Amino acid sequence: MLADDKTLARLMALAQQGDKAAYRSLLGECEIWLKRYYARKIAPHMLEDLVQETLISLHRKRASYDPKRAFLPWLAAIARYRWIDHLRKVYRTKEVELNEELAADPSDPAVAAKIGLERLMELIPEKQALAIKLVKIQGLTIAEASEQTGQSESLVKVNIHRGMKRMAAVIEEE
Amino acid sequence: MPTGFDLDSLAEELTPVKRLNANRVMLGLAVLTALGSGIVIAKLGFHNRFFDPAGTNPMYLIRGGLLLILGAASLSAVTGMAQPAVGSNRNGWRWAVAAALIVPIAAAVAALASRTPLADRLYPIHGVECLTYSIGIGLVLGAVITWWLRRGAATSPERAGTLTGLAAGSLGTLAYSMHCPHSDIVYIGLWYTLTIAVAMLAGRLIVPRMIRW
Repeated sequence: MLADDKTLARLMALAQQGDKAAYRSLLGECEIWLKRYYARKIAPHMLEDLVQETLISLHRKRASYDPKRAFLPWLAAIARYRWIDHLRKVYRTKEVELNEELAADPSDPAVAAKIGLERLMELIPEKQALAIKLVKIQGLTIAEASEQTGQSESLVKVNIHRGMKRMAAVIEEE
Repeated sequence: MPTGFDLDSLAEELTPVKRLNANRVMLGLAVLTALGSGIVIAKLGFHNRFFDPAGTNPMYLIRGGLLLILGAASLSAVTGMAQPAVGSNRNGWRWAVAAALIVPIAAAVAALASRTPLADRLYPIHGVECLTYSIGIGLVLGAVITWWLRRGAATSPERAGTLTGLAAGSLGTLAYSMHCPHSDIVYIGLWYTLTIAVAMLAGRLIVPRMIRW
């Protein structure tokens, strides 16, 4: 199981001070996370290369991480940048056709939901966060969530949709 | 594919790093802007109509205030772009641009409505001087911002380039405005806007290729 955001942030803060053991642990966790992140975004035979390139970028740009902020969104920003760069290279060299479906949605809500979820919840309106918590995390049905929150069923659906969209946007935002 | 890659060797290469501090670079740029103003005043003179018992001109205060807000908002946004993060709102510059756009719009309306010939209100010699000094100072500021972005991890190079130009152009114009003797909205709307637009375009075209990583 992946370490939580606070643990990763602590490891990165230690790594910035030169703690090699903490950094090795962090790299291991990041490798797993990146493989999942990229899994649905690129061709399987390119996955390892892209993960390695991203880890090298993480290494080079480690001074740009601010330990007062969440770690995974920072990693996601680095990963997304490397991914877009990778797509650009692939497109230029015409080695493979650019997969329109992959290029269309850089802010996968499934990934968004995993990134510093609690912190992200603080950044969206309360009603949207509540609807997402009840239905997407606690597993309640729309009807149950509607009863518990006093929102109509359609409003619960709208709040989930808008909340997920907003969280995805906030991750991609710089 | 990176050769000889493994996590152990990457961890072994680790050395301590100094975290980026955006406040420090913003302070440095503020000092450089003040220095630029000092050079302009020393070379061209100071038109003090900001707070003058003999005749304070509100336009001096308005143009200075707008440039300061535009420069500060865009500078804050662009320096923050070196450090990707969630929850940091960096959209203030859009509102500052919207507010500043009132100046060229008002200038266009005033020019159309006025009976004074437009040519009499443009002072091209002063305008070119404005353009030269503002962009000269802006170049220095833009170079520092670019250096800062290269140290960080800007993930939207094009936007970072545009904002570099906007910040450098606004602060360069602010530095020059300490000398600028004109308070005519048509003059300010044309030359100040042109200067900032040129700086933005240069930033958009030049900076992205320098900050890619």
